[in-house]
Order: sequence, then structure tokens, then C-alpha cells
Amino acid sequence: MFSKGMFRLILSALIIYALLSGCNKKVDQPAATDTKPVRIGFMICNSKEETEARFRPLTEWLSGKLGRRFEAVTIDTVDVEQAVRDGQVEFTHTNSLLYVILNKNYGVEVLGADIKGRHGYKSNGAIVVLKDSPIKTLKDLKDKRMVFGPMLAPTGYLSQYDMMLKDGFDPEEGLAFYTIPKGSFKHDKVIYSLLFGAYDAASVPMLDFELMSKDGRIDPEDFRIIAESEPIPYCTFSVTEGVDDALAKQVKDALLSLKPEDTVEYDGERVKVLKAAMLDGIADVKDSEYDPVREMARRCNMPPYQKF
Amino acid sequence: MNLDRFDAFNIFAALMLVAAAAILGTSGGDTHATGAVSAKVRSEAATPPDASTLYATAKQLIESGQPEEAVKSLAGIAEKFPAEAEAHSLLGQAYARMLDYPASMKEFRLALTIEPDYVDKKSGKFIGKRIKAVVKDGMSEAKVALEKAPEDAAAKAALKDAYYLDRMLAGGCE
Repeated sequence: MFSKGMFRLILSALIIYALLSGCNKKVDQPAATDTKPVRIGFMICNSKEETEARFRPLTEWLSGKLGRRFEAVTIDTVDVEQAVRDGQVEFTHTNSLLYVILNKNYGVEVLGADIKGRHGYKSNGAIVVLKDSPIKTLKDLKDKRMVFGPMLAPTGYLSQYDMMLKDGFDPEEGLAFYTIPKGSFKHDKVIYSLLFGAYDAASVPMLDFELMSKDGRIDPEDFRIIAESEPIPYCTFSVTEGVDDALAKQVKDALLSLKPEDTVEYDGERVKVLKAAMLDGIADVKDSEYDPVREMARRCNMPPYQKF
Repeated sequence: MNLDRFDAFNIFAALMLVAAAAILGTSGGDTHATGAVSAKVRSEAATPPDASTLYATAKQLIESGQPEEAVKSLAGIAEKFPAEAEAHSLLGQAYARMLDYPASMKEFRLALTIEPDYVDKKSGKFIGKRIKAVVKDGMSEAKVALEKAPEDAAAKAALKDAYYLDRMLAGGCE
């Protein structure tokens, strides 16, 4: 029936099969196909419309540069954590405090920080009063009315709160009253409400103050700065935990390579990517550069170090 | 057909290999019973009947800012089913939210001993980067404690766990 040669052939095949099937078979996650968009979650800064206008050209440029589709997803500041937790985005663009929260709780890692203004990739906050105000020092804020930026704003709330605590002034006890504006463009509202006399002092991100001065919307001579914080990293691009290292590196390299002259075809016109994003570039930063933000969050009992 | 001694040996070898392959195939390639989890523990351990609901609830508690409640619900599971890697992993995450880094690192270490896939990026279970964040804070906290009190046994144990996790994150084998 079988020749001896045929028998040996079948036997050899059986042995090879047995050897191969004994190997440990590991099932990896299915690889993302190139047709699936890579989503970048952009924290809404002033308004959804402004954030989209700033960053859609950048995502278009990334799509062209890296040969796969990138999508800009705008997310409310308070919803960013959930978006990362639920895997709704692969990359994020947030302020430094949100980065610190996402890094600690979800393993998000920094890729680069926005360069803008006089401190480069860093920015700082200040406590500002009107120029003829009797308030000269932080102690003079006792029983005064103050307006802060949103609670998760590192240079619109956290820095100022921390400066006051470090000076031995507890805003919860010392101030007569403090509030945070509602709706969009909160930092602008903070500055205008001080200018129009609704409050005695304001917690202001210096970048916004400088931008409004540059635009001629305010005259810096109308104000006096009574305290200014150390610069900390500005808004930050980061990658979520599950993203392939090679893709993360590609995105990082592309972002760091962005130059003011880089353009992209967007919405029927050719636009400068960085100019549209209102940035001067993107800088390479280390996670340890966010340690001052972590220390501030600890001192102010803010997330991710909040103790109840 | 005449079979010589070489053929007989081949038949025997093939039958043994097929049998071994069949056993390996049915045991599944995804288990990692290693290290500190003894055979006795593994044989006694079983998955809690409502594991997925329990873990989903615990996750929800952790993420909604109630890690203490998550610890309460998971502690019993980890005790009753010591080979449940997910219970240890979630306990590690809950303790991290409570800023209790020594407890967090201890639980992550137990989780990794049972299930090394938590630091395998190709695995859907990967949580290596959030473990890394805990190790960073936990290691510096333990070092500061040891500087103040060099004989602090708890700090020594925490540092040991931190170094273990650091090696695992770096891809080391234990």
C-alpha cells in the first residue's frame, strides 16, 4: 500500500507538525489598520470652535506627513480623563496639570510641549490688581473679592492658589469671596471683570495677559502684578498607554520637526500649521520637568494628589 | 512494508510529540503560573462566580474617586482567590489613587507574579505605564523614608517592591 519512502515522508511531516504545534501560541491584539483614524484629543481651551480652528490644520498636516489619517477630537477639560480612560483617543493635547493627572492615573506619557510667548515652552501665572488698588502684597488680599480661572488651569488657578498658600495666606479662609467665571474664554473674562471693577484681584495666566495686551484689548498699564509664579511647562502633547511605541515616536518626531514655514491644504486654502495653532513650535520635554506642577498639586490638595 | 528499528523509533517519537502537543494545546498558552504563587494556591484558586461584575464595579469606584470603597470590595476577593491577578491589579490601582504607594506596589507585584502580561505592551492587559508612575513616586517616597530612618522595615520592603517592578517594566525576567 505505502512504500517505505512514502511512510517515512508522512512520519517526518507528523513530527514537524507535532513540534510546531507545541509552540506557545500567543494571541496579540489585532493590529490597527491604517484606515482607522488616529484620534488626538484636544482639551478645549477657550471654546470648541477656537480649538478646532487651531488644531485641525495640524492634524491634517500629520496625516500627510505620516501617511495615515489623524483626527482632531475636541474635549471639555473635565471630560478628558474619561476620554482617555475609555480609550476614545490615542494622543492628547492638554494643559500641564491634566497631563500630570493622566500620567499618574492612566500612564499617559509626554511627547512635547507647545512653545509660545516669552518663556518658550513654559508659562506662568500672576495675581493682578488694578494699578491704583491699595493691594500691594498677598497679605493685603485679606477680606477682598477675587476671581480665579478654571480650577484645572495650572497658570490660571493652581499657581496663584499655591503662591498664596506658600505665603501663609489660605484663600479659603482669608478672602471675603472668590469665584470662577462660567462658559467660554474664562481667562479673558477674569481680566475684564477685574478691569471693570467687579473684583479686587484676579488670577491671570501671563500668556493670556500678554496676548490681550498685544492685541490691544487691554492696556497693561491699567494693571499691577502683585505676585508672579515660576514658569511651568505649557500645553502638552502626550500619548496614551496602549499606543504602539513606533507610532508614538513617529508622531513625536513629526511634532518636534514642525517649523513656522510648514503649510497644509485646509478648508480650501493653504495655511501655516503653527500659525493656525497659535504656536511658535513644539519642544522636547522630559516628564521630570512637570515635577513642579506635581508639587503644586500636592500642596494645594489638587488631583491627582488630592486627599479627602 | 518492512519497518526497521529507526522507523520504530520514529513512530514512538511522533506519538509522544503528538500527545505532548495535544496536552499543551488544551492547557491554553496564556497562563503564567510562576514564582510566588504556589501550586497549592493555584489549585485552590478559582475565579469568583461574578468576577466581571465585581471588577467592573471596582473599576467604576476607583475612577469615580472612591478608591477606599473599591479596596473594601476587592480585599475579600484577593484573599479568597489569591491567584486572581485582576483583583491585585485593581487593588494596586485603588491604592495608587489613595496615594498609598507601598500598598499599591505590593499589589502590583502580586498581580505581575501571576500575570506578566500587565507589562507586555502587546497584550490587551497592558498597564505598564501607570505602574511606572506609581513606581516613580513610590521609589522616591521609600528612599526619603530610608534617609530619615535607615532601618525602617516598611520602607525597605517598599523599595524592594519598587525595584522588582522597575525590573519588570524594563523587560527583565524574574
